[in-house]
Amino acid sequence: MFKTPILKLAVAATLLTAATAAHAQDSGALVDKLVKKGVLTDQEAEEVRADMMRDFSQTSAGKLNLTSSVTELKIYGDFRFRYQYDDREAQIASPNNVSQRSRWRFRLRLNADIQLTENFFAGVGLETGISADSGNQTYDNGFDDYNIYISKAYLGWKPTEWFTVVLGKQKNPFYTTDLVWDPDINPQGAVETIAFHKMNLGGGGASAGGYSKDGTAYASSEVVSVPNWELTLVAGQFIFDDNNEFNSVSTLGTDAYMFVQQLIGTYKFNSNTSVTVAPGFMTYTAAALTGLQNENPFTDVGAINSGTTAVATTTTDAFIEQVTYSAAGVPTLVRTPTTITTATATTLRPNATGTSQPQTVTTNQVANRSGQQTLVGAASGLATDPSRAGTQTTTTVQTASSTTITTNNTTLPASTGNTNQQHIITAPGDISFKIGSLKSKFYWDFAYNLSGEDRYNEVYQLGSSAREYDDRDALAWLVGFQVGETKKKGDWAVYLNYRETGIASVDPNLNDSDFALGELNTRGFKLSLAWQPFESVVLNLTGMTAWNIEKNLIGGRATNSPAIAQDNAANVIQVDVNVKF
Amino acid sequence: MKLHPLLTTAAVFTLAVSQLHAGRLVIKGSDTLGAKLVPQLAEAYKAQSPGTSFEIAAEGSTTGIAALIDGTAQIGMSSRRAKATEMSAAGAKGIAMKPTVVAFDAMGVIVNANNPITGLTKKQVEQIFTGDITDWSAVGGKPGKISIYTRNTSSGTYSDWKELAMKKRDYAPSSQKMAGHEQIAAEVGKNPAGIGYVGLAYMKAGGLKIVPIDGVAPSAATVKNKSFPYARPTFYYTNGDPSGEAKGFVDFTLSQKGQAICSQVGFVPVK
Repeated sequence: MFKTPILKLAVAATLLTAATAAHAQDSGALVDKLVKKGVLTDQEAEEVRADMMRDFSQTSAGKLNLTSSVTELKIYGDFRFRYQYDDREAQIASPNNVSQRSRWRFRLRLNADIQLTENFFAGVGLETGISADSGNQTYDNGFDDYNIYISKAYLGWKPTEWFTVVLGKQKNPFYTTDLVWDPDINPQGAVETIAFHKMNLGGGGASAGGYSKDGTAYASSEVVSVPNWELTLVAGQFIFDDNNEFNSVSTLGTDAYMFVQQLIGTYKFNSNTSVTVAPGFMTYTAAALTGLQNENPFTDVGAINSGTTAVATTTTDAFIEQVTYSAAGVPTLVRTPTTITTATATTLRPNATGTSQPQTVTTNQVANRSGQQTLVGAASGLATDPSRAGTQTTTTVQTASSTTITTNNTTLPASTGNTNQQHIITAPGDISFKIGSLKSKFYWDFAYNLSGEDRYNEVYQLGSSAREYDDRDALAWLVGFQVGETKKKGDWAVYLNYRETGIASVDPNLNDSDFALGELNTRGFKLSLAWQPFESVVLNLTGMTAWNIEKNLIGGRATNSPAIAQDNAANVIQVDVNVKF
Repeated sequence: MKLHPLLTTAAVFTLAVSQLHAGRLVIKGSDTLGAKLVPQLAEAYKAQSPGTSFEIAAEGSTTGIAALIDGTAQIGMSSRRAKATEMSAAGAKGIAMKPTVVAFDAMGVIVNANNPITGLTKKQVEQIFTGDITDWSAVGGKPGKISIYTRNTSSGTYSDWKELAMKKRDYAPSSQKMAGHEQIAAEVGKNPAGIGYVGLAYMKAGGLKIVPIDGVAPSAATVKNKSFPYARPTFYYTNGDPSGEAKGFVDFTLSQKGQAICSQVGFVPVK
């Protein structure tokens, strides 16, 4: 039926040779052209197409069947094999404080970015490790199998080049460092992004920065024109903690929402040099935290479990004094020692070990409380009074001779909420440039909690600790330097930064879970070396050394579970093999 | 040797069923083909082969290809080419999907007869149907908002038009969805600002102007010589080269008589 079987055979063989998965469909245009030129008949062309499609169908891509609303699907992931060594020195020595630990761990992440029609996009991520701030899974008992969790699930819409909205659990959209946000955290909620530089307002090029093509993350991109500027507003409304609204305790009956706004501005001096500043503000609604899954979650469990204020029992020494006048009016005083017990609410904090042992305060102690005294006549200190002849009176007299105070439980008093004392100003930034051919940057981060004092006193219960609140407690900052980057085979990079994190400065549930093992009131260095010996493999060696800013900051939530500053020092070494696919 | 009576009865019954089944043809698939064309071809075929019976189910091209793969149809009708996943599924079951082009289905752009435009480019058609252009003055017409009429979303033609004329982009939000070609032709015929697309068979309705695309008007000739852009082949899919009753029906469809029926129904014959 072909004009010439040899011709058909030749055409088919030529096209099939070229018809790899990528080319099979493109070859259709060539077939059309051959039909138009009369080389092939319509029927011959369809048979050639069928042959090509049959060949294509045997490839992996040919076996995928995607819905028509999907215009692009990207599947990718990474696997990390890690050795980690922790060495920590606790503020309070305890048999339960493990000072050294080594672990073999792994992290697996599988991601799918989906481009949809009508400017929608979506994404899904699966990851080992239930913790929000870590995907690590420690190789533990026997040859157990391990869970995998949903780390991302979101839907986005980008109706214009300059506006994007994303709903769901998504990659962190903010320009930040691990001082404030652990890079493993994928916040959940709504994020809106307005890229002013893409509004054709004039000035700079419109192609750099903002959300990536799939709309999933903000990222700086290549400089395309000189000079140039970018200005992007990112606003996030996140569901931080869900509580049952029927709970009678107010902070347990409201949900915690986090609101974060950030303005990201970049000015490019030339193709290699730029400066970025990103002031922002984050705040929370008031609510108690329950059930967070972090490596070191701060949920103030004590307050949640008790829900009551601790009670102090005050025992005051007193005497019962009985005065009897004889017929002649001579007084006889019988003084019997006794105690008066009262129970009052108190804001006493537990002691350093977290147990409220009885505390005794003794004042104005007087002698002679060993037994009953009988004092007659002048010895009683009372005058003879014939008018009271034959009478008797009994009174109780508090002598304030001594007071003993004990607390009746071992929990902390309830705080007024665990999230509302966070109104944090942030200001990260960087100056990027090249050293020779190596991309480099000097970068920094800054965070100040406007409600640091309330956080310190009311949430961390440190108000009556060894020292009063200091403004330094609300401050966190970081400076660092990076040389090189790992993008392709043969690349290497060095990262070094120094940071100080005041105890009331950043959210202990969000900051880096690796540096100082996530604890606050810390300062120290983080050094990381990275090398990419193969296209898909990156080797990392990271060392972190941290020590506390304020020594002997003991008590409250600093050292009582869930403690946020229980160590004098913490050193961590991580050796990683990363495979990207 | 004397045959057992029961064995004899079974042999006779099997032969009878076999003879009955040989004259039965199951055709499933595209409603574009199965609504009018194939039933009329079947009637004509039965007239010349009275022993043949047909079971025709027009529930979409996907169902026709699936039925062929499952072995529940001898011919799968399709208004599109088989997808790679369908080829893969067929290969796994030992089915060699063979397409036979039976006719062309062409769609032309229509406007109201009073519309002054004399032609459009492919780019302009894309821009109009996607909503990039919303006023007739942008394409040489009288100033006024363009009213777009399309098939409804459940129609295969709805998505085919996106592929043929709109680079797979979405329709303009203001486009109005019609139940059939007749409705589109009727609305455009009444609305001086209307534009739509219909099959060749519906272009003769009153009040319409057929718009040449890049200077080419839709016709059997321009479809055959590939100069008209909005045409698509339609197929019978069989398991390898057709045989038996299926071969007879495919050959009849491609015969002069069969192709004439294609033309009568509004398709462009391949021969």
